[in-house]
Amino acid sequence: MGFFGDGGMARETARLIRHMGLEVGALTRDGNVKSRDKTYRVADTGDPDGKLCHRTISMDRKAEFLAVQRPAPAQ
Amino acid sequence: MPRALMAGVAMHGKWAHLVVRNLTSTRPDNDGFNLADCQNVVFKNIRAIDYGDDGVSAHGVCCYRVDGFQSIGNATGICDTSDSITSYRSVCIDRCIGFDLYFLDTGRCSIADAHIRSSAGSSQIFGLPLVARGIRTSNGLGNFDVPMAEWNFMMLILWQRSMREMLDNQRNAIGDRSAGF
Repeated sequence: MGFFGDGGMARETARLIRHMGLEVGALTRDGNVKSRDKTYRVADTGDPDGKLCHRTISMDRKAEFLAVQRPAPAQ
Repeated sequence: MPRALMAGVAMHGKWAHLVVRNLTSTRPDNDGFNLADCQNVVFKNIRAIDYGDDGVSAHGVCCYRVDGFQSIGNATGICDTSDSITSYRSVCIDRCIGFDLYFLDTGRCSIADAHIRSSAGSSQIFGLPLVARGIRTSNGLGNFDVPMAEWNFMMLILWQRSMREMLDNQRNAIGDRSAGF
């Protein structure tokens, strides 16, 4: 499952779906998932250390357009 | 995860002249009471607790009266939309993390004898000289993470189950109000 960004909503969603066997990828500005231990979150939720993200993709700051594509679902 | 649990109480279509009383609805994923197009329905002493969306939500041409309502721990306390005509009396809204009261579109609503214990935003601290007093405050960042994630999770399941049906509905401009959605 891919996320735009690595904010609180993405991290909490990643936490919920991890038991479904899905890998988590995030598109971030610099290709890194940073610690968010100083941002408020409900206790025992989210992923403050960013450990649930399997891979990241860097978003080129110079890009003016972003195309989103995904494979067609199997019929 | 049964589809019927998307809303605790769903009333869609031309239901009329009904009285629902002494009902507590808790912890499905969408609204506690999701009401659309019903007419002259009365709810007495109802509660919606820990929902991912609205405690009660009116849609379409909906006309109902609520006498005694507690909305606790939901995303939105009350959210009325479209051309709904609603009336609430003896209302308690507590610990709702989005809007406490959220009114959209062109409907009419009255609320009387209401108590709102707001945690929905920062407007309650406007006018307080917090900065001058050296007190740091924050917005609601982080509060929405859990309900939004649960919503994402449910949509993931819905897409897996009903993607083609949802696409067909979109192409044909069909607003499917069945419990599955």
